[in-house]
Amino acid sequence: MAQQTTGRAEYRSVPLRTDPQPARAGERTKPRRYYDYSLVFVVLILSAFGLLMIYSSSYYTASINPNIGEGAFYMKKQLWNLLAGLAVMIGLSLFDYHFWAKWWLMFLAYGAGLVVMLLTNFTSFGLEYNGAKRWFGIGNTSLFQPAEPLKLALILVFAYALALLKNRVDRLKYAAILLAMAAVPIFLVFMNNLSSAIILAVIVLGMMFTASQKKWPFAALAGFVALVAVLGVVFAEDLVARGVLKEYQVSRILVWKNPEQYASSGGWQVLQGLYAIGSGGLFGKGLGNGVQKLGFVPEAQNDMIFAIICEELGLFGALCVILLFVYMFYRFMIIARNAPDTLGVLLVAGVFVHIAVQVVLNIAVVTNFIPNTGVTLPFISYGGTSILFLMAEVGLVLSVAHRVELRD
Amino acid sequence: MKRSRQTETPDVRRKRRQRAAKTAYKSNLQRRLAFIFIVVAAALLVLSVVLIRIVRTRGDDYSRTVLTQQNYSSATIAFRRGDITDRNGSLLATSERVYIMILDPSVILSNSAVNEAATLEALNTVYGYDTAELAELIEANPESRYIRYTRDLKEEEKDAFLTYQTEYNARDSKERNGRVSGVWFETEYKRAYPMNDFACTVLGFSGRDASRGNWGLEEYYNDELTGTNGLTYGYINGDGVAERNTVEPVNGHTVVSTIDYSVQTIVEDTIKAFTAERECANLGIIVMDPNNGEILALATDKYYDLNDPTELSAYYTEEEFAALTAEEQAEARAKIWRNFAIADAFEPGSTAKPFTVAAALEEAATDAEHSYECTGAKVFGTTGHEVTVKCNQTHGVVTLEQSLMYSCNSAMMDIVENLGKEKFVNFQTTFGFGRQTGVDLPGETAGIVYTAENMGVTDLATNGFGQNFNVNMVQMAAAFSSLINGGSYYQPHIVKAITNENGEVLKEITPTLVRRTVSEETCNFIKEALLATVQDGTGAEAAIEGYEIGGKTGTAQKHPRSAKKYVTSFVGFAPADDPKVLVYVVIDDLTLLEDERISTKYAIELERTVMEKILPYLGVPNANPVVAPVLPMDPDQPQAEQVPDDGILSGDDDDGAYLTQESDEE
Repeated sequence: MAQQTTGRAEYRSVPLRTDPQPARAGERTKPRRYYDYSLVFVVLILSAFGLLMIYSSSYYTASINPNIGEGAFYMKKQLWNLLAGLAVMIGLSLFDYHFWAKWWLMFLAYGAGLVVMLLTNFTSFGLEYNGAKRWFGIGNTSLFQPAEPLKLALILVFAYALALLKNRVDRLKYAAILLAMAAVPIFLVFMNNLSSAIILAVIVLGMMFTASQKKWPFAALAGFVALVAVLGVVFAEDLVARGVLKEYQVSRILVWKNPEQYASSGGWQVLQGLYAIGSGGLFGKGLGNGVQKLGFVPEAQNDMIFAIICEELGLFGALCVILLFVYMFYRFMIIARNAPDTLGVLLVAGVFVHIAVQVVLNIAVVTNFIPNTGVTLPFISYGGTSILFLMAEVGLVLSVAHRVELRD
Repeated sequence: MKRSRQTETPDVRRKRRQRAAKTAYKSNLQRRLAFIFIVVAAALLVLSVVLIRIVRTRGDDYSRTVLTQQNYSSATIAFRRGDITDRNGSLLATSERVYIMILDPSVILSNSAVNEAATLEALNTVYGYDTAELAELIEANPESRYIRYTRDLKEEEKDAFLTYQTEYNARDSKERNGRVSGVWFETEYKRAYPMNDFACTVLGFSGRDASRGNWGLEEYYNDELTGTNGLTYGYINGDGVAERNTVEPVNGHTVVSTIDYSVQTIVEDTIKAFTAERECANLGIIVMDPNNGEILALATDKYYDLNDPTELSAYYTEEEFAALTAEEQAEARAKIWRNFAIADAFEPGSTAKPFTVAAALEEAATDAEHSYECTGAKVFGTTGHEVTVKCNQTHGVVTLEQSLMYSCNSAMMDIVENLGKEKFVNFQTTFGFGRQTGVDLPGETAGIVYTAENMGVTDLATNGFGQNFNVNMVQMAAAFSSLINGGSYYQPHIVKAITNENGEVLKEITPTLVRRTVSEETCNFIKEALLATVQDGTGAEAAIEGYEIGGKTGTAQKHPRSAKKYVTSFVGFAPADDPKVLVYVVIDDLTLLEDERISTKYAIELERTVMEKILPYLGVPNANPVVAPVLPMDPDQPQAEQVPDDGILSGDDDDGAYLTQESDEE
C-alpha cells in the first residue's frame, strides 16, 4: 500500500480531509478516492460540441444524398456511438486498471490486434474505401477500423511492458524487443493507412521516451525524421521516379507545396478548407451559417471539421477548441503526476500522446502546415470506432485518477 | 560491532539507493511527461499562429473566393409554358413535365467503384442502356459531377428507376453488390401537341427553348405563354452570413382560342379529302362568327406535325430535301409553316362585288331599282390607246340585284364609274382593305390597293369587280361579316381569353367594334341579293336543303395574266337573313384536269360540305327537318346552267384575258 502512494497530496483544489472514522482492526477501510470530474467535463463539452458541429457540417450533404436523405443522419449515428462510448468510459473509470496488467491479457490484446490487422489486410474481411483497406467487416457491412483498437492495445501493452522493465528499457536488448513488437503491427497498418501508422509510431515512441532516461536516441531519431522530411520535400519528384514512395503519397507533398496548382484535383480539399478558415474571420459566420460545407469541403464532418469550426465560429471558436484540448492535456499531466504507480503514469502518457498527436496533426493538415493525410480531430470528428476507443482510453485515465487516494 | 555495522550498512544502503533510484525514476517520468506537454503546447501555439496568419493575410481573399464559388451553386428552375386550348377548353398545346437523367461519375466511382457495377446494372435493367458504353463514358470522366445522359424521360420512367434503386439498396448487403448511386433526375418541360397536326397553321410551335414560339399563336402570344424561370441561389447577406434563397418560377398563362375543335376538325377533314383528290398551290378556309369577328376555324392545305415540325416527309422525300441548299431548306420549311390565310395576298375577284354595290348604295351612286346594260365588254381610254375590259358574258339588261346574282363585270364598271375613285378608295379603307386587320396572328399582310392619286380609269373599273387589288383571307372574311351583320366591322380575332394556369380569367378579349361600314338597309339589300345568288344565280350549288344560304363566288386571274392561273373562291353565310356563321373558301391555282375549265364549283363544294356539317352543330335550325326532295335546277333558267359560275372565261374562247390592250401591240 505504502508503495502505491507517494505521500504527495497534489490535489490542492480538493480539500483534503481525513477519514471520518478511523480504521478499525479487522475491518478493511475503504479509502476515499479521487474522481477527475474536470476531465469528464472537458470530454463531455468537446464531444457535445462535436455533435453540434457534425450536425451543422453534414446536414446539407446528408439530406441531398439520396442514399441517406436525412439531415441528422451523421449526428444521430455519432450520438449513439458517443452514448455507448460514455458508458464504456464510466465503466472503465470505476474499474481498477491493475486488473488489465496481466501478461496473458496483454498477449491477448496484442495478438487480437495483430490477427484483426492481418485479416483486414489479406482477407475479404478487409473492406476497401477510396482505394485503401481500412475497414474490418463482414460481407459489405463495415464494422470498425482496426487501427483504432490497435492504438488502445499498444498503449496497454507498452504501459505494461515499460512498467515491468522500468529503467531497463534503456538496455539495448529490451529496447530492441519493444521496437520489434511495435514494428510488426505498425507495418501492417502502414500498408493501407499511413496516417494511422504515424500516430501508432508516435504513441509508442512517446511512451518509450517517457519511460527512458536517455536523451540522445530520441534526439537522434527526431533529427533523422526531420532530415528525411526535408529531403522528402526537396526530392519529392525524384522519389516518385525511383518508386520509393507510392505516387499518391508524394502527390500529397506536391499538392502541399502548391495547393492552388492542384485546385481541381488533390488540392481541392485543403484549399477549400483554407477558404473556410480564411472566410471565417475573427468570429465566424455563425453556427450553421457556413457555406463551405455545402458540397465544397469534402469530409466536412470528418477530417475537415476543424475548418468548418473556423468558418462558422471564427478564430475565436477555433482557439477555444485548442484551449480545451490544452486543458485536457493539463489534466492528463496532473493525473500522471499523482498516479499511484509507473503503470498508471505510462497509461496516461500513452493516451495523452495519442490524443495530442491527433489534435496536432489534424489542425496541421487543415491549415496546410503539413501535407494532407487523413487524421480525425479527437472527440469532435465523426467516426464511431474512433469515439468508442477514445472514450475507453479516457476511461483508463479516469481509472488511474480514481486509484489516487485522498489522504492527509 | 564493526562487523555487525558493516553487515547492516550495505543492506540499508541498498534500500536507500533503491528508494533513491525509484524516486529518481519517477521524477524522470514526470519530467519527460512535462516535456511532452510543453512540446504539444508549443505545437498548438505554432498552429494557432498559423491559423491567425491565414485569417489575417488571406481572409479577404478567401472570403471573395468563397463568394465566387457560391455563384456556381445557383440553379435555374424551369417555368412551365402555358397551354393553348380551343374555345371549349380542349388542349391544343401543352407542356409536359419530363425528366433529364444526370450521371454523377464522381459518385458512381467513389468507394473504390464498388457501386459502379450495381449502378450500371440498374440502368441496363430499367432502360436497357448498354453497360459497356456507360462504363466508358463514366470512366472517361471520373471527375465529372454532371453528365446529362437522357432527356425527356417520362415520370413513370423516372419512377421505375427510383423504385429499382430503393428496392435494390434496401436489400441485405449479401444480396447486392454495392449501392445504386450517382444518378439524379432534373425536371424540365417539353412542349407537346396532343393532336399533332391539328390546327397547325393557327398554333405554330415552340421547341426546346420554352421562351420562344414560332409562327401562329405560339409566336403572337409568346409573352403570355412564357413565364419566368425560378432560381435557387446562395448569397451573403449584410452580416456576412451565407443564405440560400429560392425564387419560385412563374408559369406561363393559358391562351384560350376562339377555335372550335369540332368546326376546325370539319374544316380540316374537308380540306384533306379535297387535296387527296386534287392539287392546288394553296387552299384556305376560314369559318367566322360574323357578329363578333371570332374565328371558329382556320385551316390551309399545309399541315405538319407540330411535335416534329421539321419533319416534312409529306412534302419532300428525304433525298429531295437533302439535295436542297440550307437556304432552300429554310424556304421550303417556311412555305409549309406560313399561314396562307393571313400571310398571302391575292386578288379577290367577284367576291368583292358586294362591296362595290354596298359602297355605291351608301353613296347613293346607285339604288335597287337601277338597271345596267351589259354588252359583254367596256372600252376605256382614248382612241389609239383603247383598253377593252370584258365581262364574262353578255348579260343584257340586269338589275342591281341581278348584277350580283350573275356577277356582271360591266354593271360593276358602270357603278364604280358613277361612284368615282375617291369614294371607292374611301370605301376600300372603310372595309379594311390595304391595311392589316390586326388579327392576333403573326405575319399578316396588308394587301395592296390603289390610292385615289395613282388609280387610273381601268384600275377603278377592274377594282370594281375585284381584280387589280390584293387582299388576304382574314381581311375579306372580316369585311364581308360587316356587310351581312348590319354594318359593324369587328376586328377579327382568334383568342378569346387569357387565363392563369388554374383557369382564372386574367384578360377577356371581347369583340372590338372598329367602325360602322354600311347601313342596315344596304346590308339587307346585300343579304337578299346574295341569297338570290345561291337560290337562282351563280352560287346555286351552294344551296343546302332546309337552310337559307347566302353567298358569292369569285374567280380571279393571277399575274401574269398569260399564265392562266386563277384564284377561285366562295364566301357563304347562313341563315341569310340573320347570319350566324360565315365560311370563306379560297383555292389558289387549282391544277386543272384535261379538258377542264376553270370553275368555282370546287370552292362552292368545299363551302357547302363545311356548312352542311357545322350548321346543325352550331344549332342553326333547319327549316325542313324532314327530308324533302331537292329542288331541281330550273331548266328554264338558262343563266343558271350557262353561268354555273362567274368565271370571267365562261362562254369565252379567247386567250383568257379579260383585259386586252390592243393599242400597245399596234
